[in-house]
Amino acid sequence: MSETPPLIELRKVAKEYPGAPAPLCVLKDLDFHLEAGTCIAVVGPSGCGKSTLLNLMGALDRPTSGDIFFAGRNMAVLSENELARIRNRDIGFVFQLHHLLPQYTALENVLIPVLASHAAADAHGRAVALLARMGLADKADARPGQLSGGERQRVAVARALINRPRLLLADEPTGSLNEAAAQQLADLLCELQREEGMAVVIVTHAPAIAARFGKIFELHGGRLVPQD
Amino acid sequence: MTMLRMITRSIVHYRRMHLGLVCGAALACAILAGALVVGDSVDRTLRDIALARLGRVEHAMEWRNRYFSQTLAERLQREEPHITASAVLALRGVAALPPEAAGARRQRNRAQVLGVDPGFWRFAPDVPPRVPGIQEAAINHTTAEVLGIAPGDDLILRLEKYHWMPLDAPMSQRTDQYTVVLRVTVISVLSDAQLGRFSLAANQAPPCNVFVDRTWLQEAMELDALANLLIAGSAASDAPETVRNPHLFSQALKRVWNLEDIGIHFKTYESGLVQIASSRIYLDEEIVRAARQLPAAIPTLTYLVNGIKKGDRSTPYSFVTAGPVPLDTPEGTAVINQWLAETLEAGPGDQLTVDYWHLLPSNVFVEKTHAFTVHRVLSMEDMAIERDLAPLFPGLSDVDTCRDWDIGMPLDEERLTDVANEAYWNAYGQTPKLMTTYETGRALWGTRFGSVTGLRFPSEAGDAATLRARLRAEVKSEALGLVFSPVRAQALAGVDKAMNFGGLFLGLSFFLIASSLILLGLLFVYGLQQRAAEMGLLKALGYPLARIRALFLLEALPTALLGLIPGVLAGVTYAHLLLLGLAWRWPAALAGTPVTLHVRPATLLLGGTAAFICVFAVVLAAAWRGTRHTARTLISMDFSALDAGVSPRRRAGLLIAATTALALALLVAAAGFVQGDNVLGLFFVVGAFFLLSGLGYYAAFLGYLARRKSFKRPRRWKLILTNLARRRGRSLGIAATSAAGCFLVLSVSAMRENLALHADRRDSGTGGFAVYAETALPVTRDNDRLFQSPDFSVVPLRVRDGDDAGCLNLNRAQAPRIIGVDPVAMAALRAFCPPEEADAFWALLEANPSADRVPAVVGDIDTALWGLGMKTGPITGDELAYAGESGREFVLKLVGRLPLRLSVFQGAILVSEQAFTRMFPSESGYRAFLVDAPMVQARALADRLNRDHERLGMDAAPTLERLESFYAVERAYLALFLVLGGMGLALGAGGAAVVVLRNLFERRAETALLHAVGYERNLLRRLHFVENSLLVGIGILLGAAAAAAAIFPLVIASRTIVDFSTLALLLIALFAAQVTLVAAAVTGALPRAPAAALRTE
Repeated sequence: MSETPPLIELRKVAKEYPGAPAPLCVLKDLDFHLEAGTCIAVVGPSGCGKSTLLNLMGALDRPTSGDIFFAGRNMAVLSENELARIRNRDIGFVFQLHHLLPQYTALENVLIPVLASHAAADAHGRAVALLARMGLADKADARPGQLSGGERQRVAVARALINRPRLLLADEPTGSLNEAAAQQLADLLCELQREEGMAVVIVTHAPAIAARFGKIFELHGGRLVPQD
Repeated sequence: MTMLRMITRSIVHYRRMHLGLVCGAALACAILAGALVVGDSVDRTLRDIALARLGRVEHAMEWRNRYFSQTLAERLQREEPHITASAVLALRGVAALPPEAAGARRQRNRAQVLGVDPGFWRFAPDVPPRVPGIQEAAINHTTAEVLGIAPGDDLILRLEKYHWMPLDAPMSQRTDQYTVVLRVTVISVLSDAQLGRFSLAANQAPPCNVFVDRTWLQEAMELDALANLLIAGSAASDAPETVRNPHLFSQALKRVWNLEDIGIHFKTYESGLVQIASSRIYLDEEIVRAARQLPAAIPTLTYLVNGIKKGDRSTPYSFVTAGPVPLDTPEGTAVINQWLAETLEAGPGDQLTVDYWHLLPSNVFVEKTHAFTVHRVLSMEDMAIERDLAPLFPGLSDVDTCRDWDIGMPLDEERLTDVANEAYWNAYGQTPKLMTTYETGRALWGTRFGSVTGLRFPSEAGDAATLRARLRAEVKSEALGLVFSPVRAQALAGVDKAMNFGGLFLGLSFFLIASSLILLGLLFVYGLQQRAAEMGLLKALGYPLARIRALFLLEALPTALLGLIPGVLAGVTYAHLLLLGLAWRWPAALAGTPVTLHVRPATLLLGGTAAFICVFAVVLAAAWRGTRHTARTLISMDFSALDAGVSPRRRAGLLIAATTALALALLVAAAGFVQGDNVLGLFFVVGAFFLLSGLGYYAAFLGYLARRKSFKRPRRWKLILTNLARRRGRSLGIAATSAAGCFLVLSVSAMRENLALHADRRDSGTGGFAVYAETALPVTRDNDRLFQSPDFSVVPLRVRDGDDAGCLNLNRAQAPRIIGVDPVAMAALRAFCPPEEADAFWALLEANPSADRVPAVVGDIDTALWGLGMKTGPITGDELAYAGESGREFVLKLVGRLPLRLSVFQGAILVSEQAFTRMFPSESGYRAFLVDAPMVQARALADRLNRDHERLGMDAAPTLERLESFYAVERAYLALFLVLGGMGLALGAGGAAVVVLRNLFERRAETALLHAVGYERNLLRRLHFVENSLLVGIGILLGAAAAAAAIFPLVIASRTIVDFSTLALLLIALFAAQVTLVAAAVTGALPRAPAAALRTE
């Protein structure tokens, strides 16, 4: 019987950005893996490479060196289209800014990822259910401009979950919210993680929020260091 | 840090934005300057042609149908050393290949045969190496090309024989030869510099010239030492400017002319009586007027009457004379000679009746009768002198018997053989049988050709020399037509007043200019939006708004100025390409005139300045708009917020407006169908309403999309559609711009009139006539079988040659051609106007005529509007001064115009035949004909007429072909408009591509998000491509639909000929250009890794 590979695994991953007088090395020799259904928080000071790490894990960027495996598949050898399919079906993103499309309603924004591929038959129902789960059942037809900051971010979470991803990546999702709204969103993410059974990686500055996501790693010197 | 430094630093830093500005300014400048250069080139070409056709000729005195002594030129030169003059014998006729020439029979019907002396060539900038001698001819390039001849070939010239009396005059010689045929050998083909193009007509079309030796031509035409054209100028190129003074020429001419120059001669009889007579039989009005100022002048008029009767006794065909009666003769009585008294057994107090022919203006003779009471009987001895004093009528006085009489008036062959009359003729010749007072005779036998055949002075009035001197002093030479016209100045005026081709081509390039400015505006606005934060910061820092705007303006203007340099150069190239296109594809637009590129620095400066002003306006507007936001908005650079959409109430308003526009479109269309005619403009209005309606519905739809609820079944295409509403104003703007451009270009270009429709109707431009014909030589009713065919009927027209005021002449006509028509016949035929208006319309030609004021109508609407640029109307109509014959000036009052855009009379002015013959009595016969026959036979009939009447120089063509030749000009401009408009729209597509780029730029975060959530790059490209293609395609679709709405009913009614293939090609090309640019913009602007944009947060 073969051993189930980690959901995502980073091996000797390095990421450099061009700079003067020498390239800026953000991540170096980073080894990390995450099992399915697990939940971690990544903390660290500004500019330490948290978002870079998330982008690499989410197939939005490629490492300078090293390999990243998603469910045992080396993402370095995958084409852009295959990566897009992984992003669409297996990974959900929640960004610090909601990035809702202003011309569409909340419901349609949730359904946007579905339309990247052939729409699942139950997509509409799931989108409605997700919005209801987010407490936004009555805001389904509202445009983003008609929603509060917290509401927009919840719609963004629903959008991230619409395709039942195996991995949810949240990049400081509460960063632009007030404390109450941030707490509310953190609660929601925790509950959804349990309900949907997906793995979650959340990047945050807020220790209180990080503490609610199980294991905490600090990005330090380009490497992930577990915190006790 | 200074303002200047701020500006220069900004220019360098934002060099890409400024590069766009440079390109936009260059483009606008190129189109503006190019159009103006085309106008300049046409103007310059026309000017060059005008100067080439005149050489060094400054002034000319042109006599038609009469002649003066050639020595006048020599005396003029002696009188004024600065003047160079030459007398030319200029005749119109037919030039043809000799019968034995191989190949097709070719002839040129309107050739200008010029008998010139060696002095003529002094007016040529480049004197030909050899001038024609006896039976030799030099021809110009046109003649050579038309006839296909070269030096060494022979040429036949058929010229109208000169008659001392006009052919239409009752006693003119008729059955003699009408033409003189000459055979010449071509010795050279003259260039323009060698005066090959010589012509006085204000027309750019080259004449068909044949130059021959003057003396030889004079002998052949029996016009010894006579000429009819006097040209003068300063042949020396370094002549002082004062020589060009027209006053100098006229004064010199006044000093040197004499009465013999114009055929006036004095004869002294044994009794000492002096008679003044004219070689043209009738004396000029001015000579008569002047002579009657002298004491004791007795005017006389001799006429041939049909018969003189008393009771049952009569004598046929007798000469009668008015004037030289004894002083005691009462008005209305007659003095008869002894022979008549005996023949009729008449004496003093008896009543005689005289039958005579009266000539109507239409040249129809009507017999009239007048009763005289015999006052006295004179013996044949007393009357003997009258035989010598009677004028010598060619064909009448110079024959042996009455049976040989050869004159225009109808003669009864049987009565001509009257024995007694024959005996009288043999014994007394032209001695009048009856004489009456001058006034009575003038009233009865005076004609439009004159009323005085002699002026007698008794011996006590002085000898011939004295009388000659006194008469010479009394006569006003200008009233005899002895006056120079400043032909050079007139030619240049004709060019200066010609159509403004620069303006015309600017108009045709309208869409190109508008598109380039829109493109420029978009580039600049979007460039400014990128710098919104900078504007916001300056505001936040307390910069006054005016200063911020000034900063951006001062930054933009130098770069715009920089763009003008390549723009001007590109403008010259654009003009060159336009001229090449005109020569290659649309020669009719400039009436086949080859135009050479001419670049004037002043024009380039004007084009550059105009472009700069346009660019300045666009930049100013953009800077104004760009800085009007608050500092916070500008700093946040958020211009991508979704339009709020329109409220249901406003949407309802939009729907109502759109529906109203649609209803109006349908209403106007229905009105057009009911009206049935002249609806070209009406359906254009229909299309415009249709377009407004479409845009209204589109606006309402966009408003709905922006406020709609969620789709129940979201699909990609639904989301794409929603994206159109994202920037509603921008979407609507793009659609409206391309729809309006597309509609205007397509519908205007498609509205080419179908001239064949209703061509057989009397109220059409053909007048319902099948063929329009002109002859080089005049035709009289009684001498040509043209009038006697059973297969067709002919409406003859009189023609006074003049400038073509139609669209085929690019010069402004100085003295338009005049056509004399019979208004009664036209009204009876209901020709050229609606039947119910025909009587009133043609009656205009006969309304309120006066001695010097002649009502006239213009040949068609285009001639009035463009050719003459004059108002028409019974009261408000403009007036045209014309020199009639004998120097008398007539004023043509333009009382109307044919109610047709195009007619076979284009370029001409119509007057009644009566007025025509009064103005130009020596214009004999008819030279134009409307031939009435079934329209289907038009081509065959025209061919037949050309064949049968070749000797007359017949040019017959179906009326429809004539209209088509006029319409070719408009058709060429429509085609040009289509192409330039299409180019403008294609350039507009460039503007749309900029909008697409802007859209993609504004939505890069959205694109990144979609990429992040799994949209493949290809899918993103497809989505953007479809969305933006839709954005620009809707405009084209709306425009094309509106154009179709405008055109379709006309196509169904066959009123227009639509070149569907060209339109389809244009549409396809337009859409292809738009889509290609969209595809290029999407491909170019979509990042390789769109999601990377999210990383920058």
